[in-house]
Amino acid sequence: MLENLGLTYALAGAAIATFVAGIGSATGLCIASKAADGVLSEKPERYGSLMLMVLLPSTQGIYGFVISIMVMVKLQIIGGNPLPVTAVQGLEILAACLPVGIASLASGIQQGKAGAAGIIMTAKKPEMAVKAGVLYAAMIEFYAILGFLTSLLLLLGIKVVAA
Amino acid sequence: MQGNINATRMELLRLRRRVSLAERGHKLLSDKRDEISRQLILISRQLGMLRKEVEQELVETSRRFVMARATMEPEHIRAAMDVPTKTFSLAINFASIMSVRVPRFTKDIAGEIISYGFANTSGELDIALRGLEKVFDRLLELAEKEKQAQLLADELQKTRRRVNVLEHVVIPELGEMIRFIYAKLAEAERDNISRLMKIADIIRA
Amino acid sequence: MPEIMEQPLFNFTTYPAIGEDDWRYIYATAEIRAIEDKLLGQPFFAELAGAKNIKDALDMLSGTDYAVSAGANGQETEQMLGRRRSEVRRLFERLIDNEKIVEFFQSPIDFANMRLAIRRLVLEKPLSDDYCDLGGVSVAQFEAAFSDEDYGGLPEHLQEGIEAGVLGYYKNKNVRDIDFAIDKVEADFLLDEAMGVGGVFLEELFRIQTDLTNIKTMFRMKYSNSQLRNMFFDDGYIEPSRLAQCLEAGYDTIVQNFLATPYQYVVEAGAAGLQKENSFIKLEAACDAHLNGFLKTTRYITAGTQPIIAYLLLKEQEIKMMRMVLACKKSQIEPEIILDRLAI
Repeated sequence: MLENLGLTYALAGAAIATFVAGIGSATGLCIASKAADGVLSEKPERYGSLMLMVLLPSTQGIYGFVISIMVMVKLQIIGGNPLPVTAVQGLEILAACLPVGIASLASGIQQGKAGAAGIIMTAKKPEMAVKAGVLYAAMIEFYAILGFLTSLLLLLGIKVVAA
Repeated sequence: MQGNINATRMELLRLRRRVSLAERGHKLLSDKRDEISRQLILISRQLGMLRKEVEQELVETSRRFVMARATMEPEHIRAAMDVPTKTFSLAINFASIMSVRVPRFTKDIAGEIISYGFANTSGELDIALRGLEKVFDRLLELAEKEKQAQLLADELQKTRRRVNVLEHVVIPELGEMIRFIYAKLAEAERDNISRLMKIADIIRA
Repeated sequence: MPEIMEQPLFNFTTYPAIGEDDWRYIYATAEIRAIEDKLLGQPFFAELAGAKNIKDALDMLSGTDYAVSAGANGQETEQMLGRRRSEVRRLFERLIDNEKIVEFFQSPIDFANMRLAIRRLVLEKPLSDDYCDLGGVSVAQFEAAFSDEDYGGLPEHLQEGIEAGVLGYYKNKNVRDIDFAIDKVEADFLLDEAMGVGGVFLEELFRIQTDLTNIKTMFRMKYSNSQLRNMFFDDGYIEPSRLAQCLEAGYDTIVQNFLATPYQYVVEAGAAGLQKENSFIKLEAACDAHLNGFLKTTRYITAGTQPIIAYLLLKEQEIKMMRMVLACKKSQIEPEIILDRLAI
């Protein structure tokens, strides 16, 4: 039983990367799309310019998903024949997954809010949609990318060898 | 007319009495005319000023009403103004100026004109209502004065017509008649004298 | 740069805090922000005030929400304004799903209807059915309660108001006391309601409104040398005792009394208007402008009930100003006076 503990830790890491980042993206998307719906109910012609701002928070979920796929590839779990992992290695993988998860959670929600503010601003000044609305919200993306890169580099640095 | 006159001394005396009566009447009536026109000038001078003031105050009040009404929500205006609390009754008496019966208004106003609370109402409404209350007295005064002026003007016209009739018709006509009777009488006298002289000549001859 | 706002970004010395974002209202706020664009704004009204006559003014309205047929008479214009008002109220009730907030804005209309009904009742006038239908209680229900004199079906705060109003009248048989009594009940109820909602915005709004009402009341009592006392509501920031002192003081002293308070400019404008022009126009415009300024601070909220409430009040103010400008144009009142009263 205990010899599988490493694998459990590693899989938990993969799961956390997906669902925590997913929560961030989903919440952010929810906020941004509600704001967009509100504006569209009055100004349907703005659909195109609002699209990008609504979609911005969706990237965080993808980062989380990519990291979890990488974990799965590393552990060769997709083939149905996972590598044996020590408990320490498992914890290392779990730790490597945390940056993308937490950074995505926070940045996804905040990006959704910033996007909503941008959408509301766009309702009044459509010409500023890309300049301010998208770019400002996209800056938050930077920190999600940092989280993603950190996770990625950490993950690449961990050598999984049979115990 | 002259044909109908009895050219007698009695008639002459009667006519002379009538002339002096007519002259006395003429003097009295022209005095009355002067007095009425003096009063009328007095009233109309006040009237012009009063009218201008009242009109100005009414315009001012109505402008404030417009402002108050427009800046209060309809339900608050209705709550404040729909049920009047001020009661007003008017009685008319008559006074006499130069024996002309002119109306005098006495009013009886009860209740407070402002009947709403401070919240939700406009200060302009206060000023407008108080202004209306104030201008009402002056409005009555104006009505009273205008009616007086109108009645006096009628009376003035009547008196002036009477004076003119006396001056230009009655008195000259009477004078004419007196002169006519006088002439008739004088002629009768001369007639008589010449007849007497003729008779005396016949007797002497 | 077409225009630069001269106001400081956060005028925190003038206006209190307005509370936090509430992300449940993001949809509603976004919708409001999109509609907000259509508010007409100061320049439009200034131009409207300068129109040559009522016909030109009505022509200028043709592209806006306030379009009426050419040659509309006063009654048609009033009906149009009434429709706009009930539209904005319906929108508000649709977007705010908080009963208490909705009730906060409906109950003043119920109270106004009640004042009218009680007057008719005690002065034995017919209770017709021409009440305002924007309140929380339907006109039919309202009329039924009053004609049967059975108030059990009405909400509690209205029952309380009716009792206070009727008692107030029979104390001195003075119609004015009905309003005084009901106003107090209304103020207490609204404060409770505002505190019950949670969040500071509604409470701050109510306190500012109360302060402005108190300041107006103070000037009105002073102007007419009223002998009434204890007319101030004690739910505002300004203590009633301070206002009572102002009644005895000269205008200059009053202005000094309010130095360095948020109401400094309101009081200065009001005192100047009363002294120089004998009118409350400037005071009322300054009060409206102060409240509008507070409402406009909600632009710093991305999501929440605050922008929706602010929109309701700003739109109602716009309707009121529209009525004012059109009525003044109709009565040929000078544009300067219109601009003095204009507060958008």
